[in-house]
Amino acid sequence: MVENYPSNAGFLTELKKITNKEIPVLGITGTGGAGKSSLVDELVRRYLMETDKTLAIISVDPSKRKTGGALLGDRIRMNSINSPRVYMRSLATRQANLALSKYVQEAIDICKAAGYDLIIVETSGIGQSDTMITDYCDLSLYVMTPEFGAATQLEKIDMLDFADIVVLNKFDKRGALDALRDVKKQYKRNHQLFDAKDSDLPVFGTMASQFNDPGMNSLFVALIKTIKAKTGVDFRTKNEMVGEDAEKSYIIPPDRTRYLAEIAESSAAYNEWVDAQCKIAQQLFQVKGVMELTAPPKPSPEGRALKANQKVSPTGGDLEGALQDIYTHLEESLDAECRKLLREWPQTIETYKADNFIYKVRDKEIKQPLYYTSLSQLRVPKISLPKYEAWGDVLRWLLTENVPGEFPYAAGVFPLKREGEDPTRMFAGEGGPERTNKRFHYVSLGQPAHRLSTAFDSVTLYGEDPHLRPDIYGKIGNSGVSIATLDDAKKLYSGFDLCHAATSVSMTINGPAPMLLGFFMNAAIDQQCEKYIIDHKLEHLVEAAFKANYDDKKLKRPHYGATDPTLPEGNSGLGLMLLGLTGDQVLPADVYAKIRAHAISTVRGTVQADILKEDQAQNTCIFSTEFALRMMGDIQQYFISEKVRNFYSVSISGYHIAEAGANPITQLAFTLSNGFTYVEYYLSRGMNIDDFAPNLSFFFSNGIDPEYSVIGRVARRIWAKAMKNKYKGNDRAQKLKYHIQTSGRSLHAQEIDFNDIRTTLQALYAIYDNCNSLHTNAYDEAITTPTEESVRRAMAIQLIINRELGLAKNENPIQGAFIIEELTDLVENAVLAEFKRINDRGGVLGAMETMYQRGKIQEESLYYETLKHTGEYPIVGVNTFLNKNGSPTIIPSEVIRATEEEKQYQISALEAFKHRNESRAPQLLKNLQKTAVAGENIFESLMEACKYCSLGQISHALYEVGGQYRRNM
Amino acid sequence: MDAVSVYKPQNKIRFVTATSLFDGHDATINIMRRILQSSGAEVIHLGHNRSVDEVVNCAIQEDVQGIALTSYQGGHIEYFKYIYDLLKERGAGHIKIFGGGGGVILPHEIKELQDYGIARIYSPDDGRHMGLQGMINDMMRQCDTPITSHLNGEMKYLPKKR
Repeated sequence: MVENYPSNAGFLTELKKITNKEIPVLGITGTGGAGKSSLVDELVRRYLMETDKTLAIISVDPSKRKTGGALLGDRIRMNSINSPRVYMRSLATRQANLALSKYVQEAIDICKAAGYDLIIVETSGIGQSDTMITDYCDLSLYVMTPEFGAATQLEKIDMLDFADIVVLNKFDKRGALDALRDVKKQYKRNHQLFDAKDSDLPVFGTMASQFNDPGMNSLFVALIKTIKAKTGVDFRTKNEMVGEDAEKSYIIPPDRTRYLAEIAESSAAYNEWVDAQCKIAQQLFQVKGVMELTAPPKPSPEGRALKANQKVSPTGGDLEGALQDIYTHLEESLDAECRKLLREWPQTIETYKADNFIYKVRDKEIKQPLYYTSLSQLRVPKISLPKYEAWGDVLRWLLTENVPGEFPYAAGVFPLKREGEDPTRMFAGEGGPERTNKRFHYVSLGQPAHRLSTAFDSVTLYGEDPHLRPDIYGKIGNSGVSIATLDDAKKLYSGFDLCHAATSVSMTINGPAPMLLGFFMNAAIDQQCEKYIIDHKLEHLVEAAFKANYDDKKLKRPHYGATDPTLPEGNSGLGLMLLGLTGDQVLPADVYAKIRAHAISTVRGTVQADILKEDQAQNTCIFSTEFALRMMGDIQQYFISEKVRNFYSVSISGYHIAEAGANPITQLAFTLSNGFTYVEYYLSRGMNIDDFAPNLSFFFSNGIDPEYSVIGRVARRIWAKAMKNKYKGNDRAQKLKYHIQTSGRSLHAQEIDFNDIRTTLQALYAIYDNCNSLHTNAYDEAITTPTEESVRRAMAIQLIINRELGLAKNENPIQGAFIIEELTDLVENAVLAEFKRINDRGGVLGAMETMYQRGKIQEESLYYETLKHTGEYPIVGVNTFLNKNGSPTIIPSEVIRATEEEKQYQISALEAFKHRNESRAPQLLKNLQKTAVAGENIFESLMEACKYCSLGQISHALYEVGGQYRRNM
Repeated sequence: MDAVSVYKPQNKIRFVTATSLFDGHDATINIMRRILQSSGAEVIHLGHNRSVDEVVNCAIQEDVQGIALTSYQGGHIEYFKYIYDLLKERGAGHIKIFGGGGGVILPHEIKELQDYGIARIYSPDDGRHMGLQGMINDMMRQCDTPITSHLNGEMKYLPKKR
């Protein structure tokens, strides 16, 4: 109001009368990009924790001179202001070149009149008018970063004369300690404090972006003291915070941040080495040819037969000897590994001529046919080898392509595809666990392998519990399944033996991945307990446990199905016997421990848990990135110590990067660079590359662009080269395994029948490129939740390619094509060039700080949209080849959504769960927090908490010790 | 399509922009808020995954004329109606609500929400016909009202308000 009606004088005079002069006003200013809003948020968080007072924030951002508009962007970074004790008002300057609005004083007066206990005025750091703020406040705080350049620059900063407190935020930047020293020196000079001790100066290093940063604690304590000293107002903080110097717990150690450049350099070095070796091999081959040509003829019975080659034989000198010398010399300069490859090549050819291929997987001998007989009785080879004769060509092929299963794995990481298991993975997730369970059984009925892919509803994706509050209620069970407790997980996967070799479960969950993984693991353990109970006829123990834990306490036993307990076709009921109990409540501790160890080392599957791509593209982060990464590391550490060999601890995903608009090269470059970031982080935690690399998996989108025909080849080759040459990993570590989902973005809402054609072509790309697992989208996905009919068609796409399409019986159909080889090199080079660009920005995490990845994805998305709009990029039935009605957008008449009954049942089941565990949950949550604070492995205590606590309870407990995600613009 | 000229408002217009709760699809709202800014609006951008309580609190504290929200994750009926109800409950029924959600929000749902009191839900067809600037102009026009010009005797409550 004061902004719009400055002439309303009566109101202002009246206001002045009730203004309480005692209220301290803190001014905060600083350079743009210094992290002011995060810093204010962290101060607010501490203020709310340490006092019971109220607070008003007035935040001023510049108006644009040209348009008069303004982006008031401080609130987006603020996590703690949604409290009844906090009021915040953003002001635009509404005048050019000034850091403050004309009406700041009035705004302050209103806040004072309203009786807030502390007022913070934050201003934008533009222009030379920073010091204006000191006219309005009782004390001021200046925020800068260590990156101010030379120390002489400090002499130009007016605020160093005026500020009561100076903060160097982003204290993890290079040269921070020198910067701190320089600023302190300047502060002494400006304030004539030449005798003051450095440690007594009000200059602080902080890392506001780091949760519970000790430097921020110091700052907060000093701030409260300064307020008291300057205004006499004592906030009487509860328990004095321990202030220490800011210390960065680095994700990637500072001396390791060049990893991406090193990977690119090591790949280039390998390529150069290949060129040199192939040249030698080629020369060897040529010399050998000449030696054969010039060799003296064998004496023939006629005595002297004139041979053609004798004509070209030069006369004189010891040619034979000279050639032999050259040959020997060349042979010696050829690397032993290359010599071995060439020596074994004829044998390799023989191996692939046999009827069967015999190889070993973990000491198990596997025999698979190498030929497929067509209807015409032709023996079609599964692996077709090049007919090269020249050694240079053979060697180049072996070093850059090779047969599937051999380094550098261009054509695949396994010698042959698994038999009896199509790479078909089917996605399901809607409503409550029962409905999704039914869908799972529907799609896998009659299939020998059960590869289940789980989509969670958005409530679950953001780590919250179902609730009646409308903004939550509306999302329960929509576009994914609602899972809030262990009971839900047990129902969801009931009837599938999670420890069976042919069952594999993937879970699309990221922020709350640790909790969902905890639910899953516990569900798997309890299934095995159930089998043990049945085998040993111990059902009476289960009954006793139910009686003690439910009937005696007058609690209702949980059950499958809201009203109808009938199991869907195919569901044997496995996993439901212990619904509401856990194995350790029934079985002796030692038996349980044994079953538990066996179960978690046996389960097969993947949890997405890729937090880097969430921050870059998908936005389902819930914890601070640092804490989320730490939990990923804890899970991996747990996997190593519990010998979890068949479960991927992360699915490093490019899918969402591509769906957000990135082109295939960017998708691949960002995804692989994220992957290498996890590698560096796990290495820095002391894990061994061979122990964790096999637990990493990848997930890409396959669109229709040419690059998608080689995305797997390039990914495998870059990964293998880096693992072998840079990280010295063993062959299991070198094998990059990945899942493909056809591109959802390439599906259109017009002429939706055409979508299956696009999906088919993308699936063909994927299968020819030897993906390890594949999901094909349903044609109606662009407009609605797929129906059983559309999902069946999508599945048929894969089955037709895998079972009917003759060429797909061959497993390396694209190897050897000139264009494929060229595309592979082009894409690989483009990806490595992107690695260097990310490296120049400080590696993946450094680039994320300036939102490099987000920016690039948005740019590429816009480029595609523009070309699509102008028609330069043709899309049939969308911008060209329209039907006579103009190919209108198809609008579904009704969308499948969770029913009221399902939602209500989820809420009541959750309430019952919480009620029955209310005595156990608090202690488990406290333990969990204690583990987190102590820096111990969080996942171990999480496994226990998951038995008795809900998803939301765990998320909130972890926010308090790990920090919530801070949004970016 | 002819270039749509930018609407010139009479009043200073302020908007809160965000995506709905548990919804990370922030591409559209980012485009819309940029056009709002370049059309002269002051935009308080909250980003993705915002609860109704957060949006409503912010809108009231920030004295905005309008709220612009996207919802691509389902549950939009409940979300938009709850925004409307909570604004009214907290005495801010004058704040107008605008929304979009591509094809996710069905035509009959758009009608239901507009009948309930949501100022406008823009459909993909609206986007095609009006263009981006056209939609922004429509929002600006509907919000081109003074915030308040007199205090209506609220002054005496000020010291009590916390």
